[in-house]
Amino acid sequence: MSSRRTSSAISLDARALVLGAALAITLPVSAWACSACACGNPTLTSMGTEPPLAGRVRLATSMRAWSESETTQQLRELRFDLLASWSFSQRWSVFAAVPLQLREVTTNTLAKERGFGLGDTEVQARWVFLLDERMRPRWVLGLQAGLRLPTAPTINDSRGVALSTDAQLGSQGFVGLAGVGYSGFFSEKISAHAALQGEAPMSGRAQFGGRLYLAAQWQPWAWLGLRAGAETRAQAQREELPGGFSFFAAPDALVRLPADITLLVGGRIPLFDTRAGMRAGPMVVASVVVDL
Amino acid sequence: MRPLLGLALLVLGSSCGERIAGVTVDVVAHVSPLSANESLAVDQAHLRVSSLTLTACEGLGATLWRAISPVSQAWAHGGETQDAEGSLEPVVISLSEPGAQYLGSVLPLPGRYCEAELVLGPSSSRPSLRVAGLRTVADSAAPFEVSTQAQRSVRLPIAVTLDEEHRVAQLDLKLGSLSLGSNVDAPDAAVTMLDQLARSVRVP
Repeated sequence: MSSRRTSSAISLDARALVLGAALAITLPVSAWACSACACGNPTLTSMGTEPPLAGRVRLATSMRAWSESETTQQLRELRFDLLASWSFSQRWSVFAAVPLQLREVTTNTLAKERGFGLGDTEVQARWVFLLDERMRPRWVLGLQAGLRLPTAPTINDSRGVALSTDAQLGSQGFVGLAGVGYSGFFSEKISAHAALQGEAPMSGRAQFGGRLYLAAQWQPWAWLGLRAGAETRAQAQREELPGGFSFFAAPDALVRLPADITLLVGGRIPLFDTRAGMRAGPMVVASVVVDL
Repeated sequence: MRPLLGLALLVLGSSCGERIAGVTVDVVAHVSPLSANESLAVDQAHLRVSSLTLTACEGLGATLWRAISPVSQAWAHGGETQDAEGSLEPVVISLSEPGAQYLGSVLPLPGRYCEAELVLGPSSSRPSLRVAGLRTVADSAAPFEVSTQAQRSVRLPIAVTLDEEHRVAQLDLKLGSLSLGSNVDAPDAAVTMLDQLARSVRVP
């Protein structure tokens, strides 16, 4: 009598188990992918260094405060950028940045000019032409090309007289942008990033230039990434504007916040400057990136 | 969402600029009334200022080192105004109009200034001192004038500080009376008057 009951109970439990599993598999439930994780890659990334993911939309706002000194004047700027990127395929992304700038030029006689407004907008496209095709890419190599548009208006003072060239927010011309970017994801904790970008003015007062950025990132915990990097900027001489190189240390920290938000805080510490009569000051960088 | 979008567009579409003047020293001359002999009358008198340059104070470290250094040294004056506009433009003071006369502005570098050098001198078309329309009241002879091309330099102690909090300063120069005596027609009378005026300049 008891063994027959036990056998029936086991049979009932097994059928319930199978039915429950079937229901769990077939019933639709909300499933939230973690786009910041990019299919199992937990590396925290800033705008433009993420592994490709078709359909990814990223919005960001960034703040930069920087300064630069010349022989007879100092330039300071506080800049806010609204950034958006959309990866419409696994290998193609488009990117736009709209800046809002507050710039101040102070001469050695303490005369000041201040300008506030829209800066030059950037639009770029990124093509990932080499990609580690595994489920979780270990390295990504992409090409970027774009344009900086002269969207900054001419800034005038209260009497309608234009401020000096150095106080204007934009270059008042089109600038072509091209570059290559690399991201390597060696483990869950170690990654590297590199970017080389050149600028070529087509009109306006901008100088030919370029930027090289190298960084290694260590992520001790899933929510915190620490970067040690270096950045070099080059400018070609143009008229009275000197040419040369500026070298910076580039430490950054990335923090993952709830709801797919990544916070980046960092700086650019000037090491030395070869431009005659000019010296770059330190820069503070902060950005918030939201993956939609 | 629409209000936010509208606000964003409004902010992005706004732009403004402003200018703030640099540090400035306004120079004002306080002219005393002419002191003329009762028998003399004068129409006008002019004194030409070639330049006025400010000299920065020596730093405390430099002053202390100079005081204690066992090595005798020749010390030049502290850095003079380096800006090209750090000197007053040439200007003519009317000595026959007593009162305050604005001479112009000096645009030096920020800092502390302890000395001003005032140069009274001529130009190619104007003497350093000219007294015109001189005549003896009781005499019907034609008026005459005296003038000189001599140059005199006066160093004056001042206390002017220019920085972010003190962007504008005023430098007052008080000129003593120009005395016109009975020897006004002597050959060196104009030079004597110029010397007298140079010695009379004070910073109150």
